[in-house]
Amino acid sequence: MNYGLPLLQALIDHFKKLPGVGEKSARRLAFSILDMDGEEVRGFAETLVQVKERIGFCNRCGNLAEGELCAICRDERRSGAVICVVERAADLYVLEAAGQYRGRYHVLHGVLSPLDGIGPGDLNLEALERRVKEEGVEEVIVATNPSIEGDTTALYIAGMLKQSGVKVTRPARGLPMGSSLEYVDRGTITRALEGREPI
Amino acid sequence: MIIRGVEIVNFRNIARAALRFSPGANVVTGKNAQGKTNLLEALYLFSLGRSFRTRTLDETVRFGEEYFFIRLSGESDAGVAFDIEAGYERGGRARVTAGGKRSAGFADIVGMIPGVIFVAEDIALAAGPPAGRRSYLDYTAAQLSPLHLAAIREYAGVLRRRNALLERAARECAPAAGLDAWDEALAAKGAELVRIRRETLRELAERAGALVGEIVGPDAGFAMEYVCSFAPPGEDAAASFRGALERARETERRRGYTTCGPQHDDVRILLDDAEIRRYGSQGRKRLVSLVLKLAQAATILEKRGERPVVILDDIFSELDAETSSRVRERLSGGYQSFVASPRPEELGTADPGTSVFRVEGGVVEPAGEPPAGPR
Ligand SMILES: Nc1ncnc2c1ncn2[C@@H]1O[C@H](COP(=O)(O)OP(=O)(O)O)[C@@H](O)[C@H]1O
Ligand SMILES: [Mg+2]
Repeated sequence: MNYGLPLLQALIDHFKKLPGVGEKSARRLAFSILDMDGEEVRGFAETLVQVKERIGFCNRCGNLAEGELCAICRDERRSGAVICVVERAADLYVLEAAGQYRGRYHVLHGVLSPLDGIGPGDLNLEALERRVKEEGVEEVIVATNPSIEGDTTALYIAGMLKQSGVKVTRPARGLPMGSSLEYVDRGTITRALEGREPI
Repeated sequence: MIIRGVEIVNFRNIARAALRFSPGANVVTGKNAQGKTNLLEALYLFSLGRSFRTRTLDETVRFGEEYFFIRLSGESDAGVAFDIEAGYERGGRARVTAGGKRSAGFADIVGMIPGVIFVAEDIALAAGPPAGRRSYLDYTAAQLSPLHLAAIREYAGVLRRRNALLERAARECAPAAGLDAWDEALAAKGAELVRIRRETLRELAERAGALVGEIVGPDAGFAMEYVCSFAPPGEDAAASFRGALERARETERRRGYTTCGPQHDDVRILLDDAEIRRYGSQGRKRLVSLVLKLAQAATILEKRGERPVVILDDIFSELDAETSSRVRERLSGGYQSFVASPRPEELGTADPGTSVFRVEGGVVEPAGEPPAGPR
């Protein structure tokens, strides 16, 4: 059904590519765009393009950043003595929302996953090793998801940093195995971060 | 656990069935290829988390139909009612709802209805290939605790990933980057698996020993021991496993898969102080296989505090009269049972508390009642 309006159909198809958006929601979203005034739509479209063009990765930690460094790495009040390693930037925002953690982060952009052909060379690991050497880090918390891949990546990081003498910890159970950080509630995250253990 | 009733739609050759069961023995009778095993298969799906005959549920959907649906209801020994529904559409994923709560699939309900099954091939359990004894141990462990089930799955998951890494490295003649971490993970999960298997075997051996004592006599010379392929008893299994992986490294690199680990372990069974696999008579091998299953039921009952449902699929033709009457005697000790046999007259169907079902061409009817009116 394209109402004889291929442009509208194209917009609906774009919305349908977004997570959690089906045919019906996509149609509703498309119609609400039609209802907006021209200026607003232009701003919306411009933002979409800019987001993609101007947001890159933080040079230091791999988090999303509009410039060289992300907001967390620029924030002088945060402790550089602790680095929390996460799989993706989205996990970092979940941890931030819990509001407990005052150290810095490091985003791996994935985990070791032989079934997908992903090895250490595909992850943001060299930079982590460098940071531990250069930034006076005392503790690295590996907060990858509690999956087989996440756990093994934590073991890999512990092995990689062994020489450096830095303390490597993992948030204690409390995170249910196989769950993804994205779906865990704040209380659970807080408890898990408090009970972290050396690997 | 007692299964009070089942509703089946489009499972194997059963188009539709709605049955009420006896809390004691349920005898399923009928000529060959009529659907007796199909009915037992439907019930046991809820214990094993998959079919005991096939890995592909597609095969179990009735020919010409698109989906099957099964609903079990009953109660735990403590009297708590349960209601589990499972639906499967060809090419899709199973949807399982327990107590109104959706679970991910069959794999997540393993152990929810504790069960013990005995099919004709299980006659080879005591003396057949080691794989049968490993799955016997793992399945028993999984019924005892969801943590055991998780540990078994995690080991298998790490093994699969490590194999994928080795396979790719061998194929591309490249180094297996990150292998150390996978070794570490495999050793940790493997040691945990061995610990769980040893502990489970201890429980099983104790009960099997008592049963053999009763049947064969006090000097039966019966024992069961876990044979770990990489760590002798008492040694740190994780450290031994790491050592074995190190020694196997070159071979594994070349072959592209993991060559050592608990997937090569076995259970050694002794009777008359000699290994039954080598020295046992045919009759002894069968007897011990049967004892292993009865010990499984007793272990689940005692360790978990819940009576397992016992399923026997046409095994009495495999046993002599004395052994089969012994089995029935044991089962009458309080398990709900489902017994398929083409010759029910041998089974004492006249016992009070026994329900008989007749199966013909996929139609299951309680025997003794007049056939239902036209459908
Ligand atoms: N998916 C299916 N759809 C319809 N019929 C099936 C299906 N799978 C098996 N059957 C039929 O079920 C019958 C075998 O039933 P089974 O329970 O094994 O027999 P038995 O009564 O000897 O235990 C065969 O006739 C076979 O064709
Ligand atoms: Mg059969």
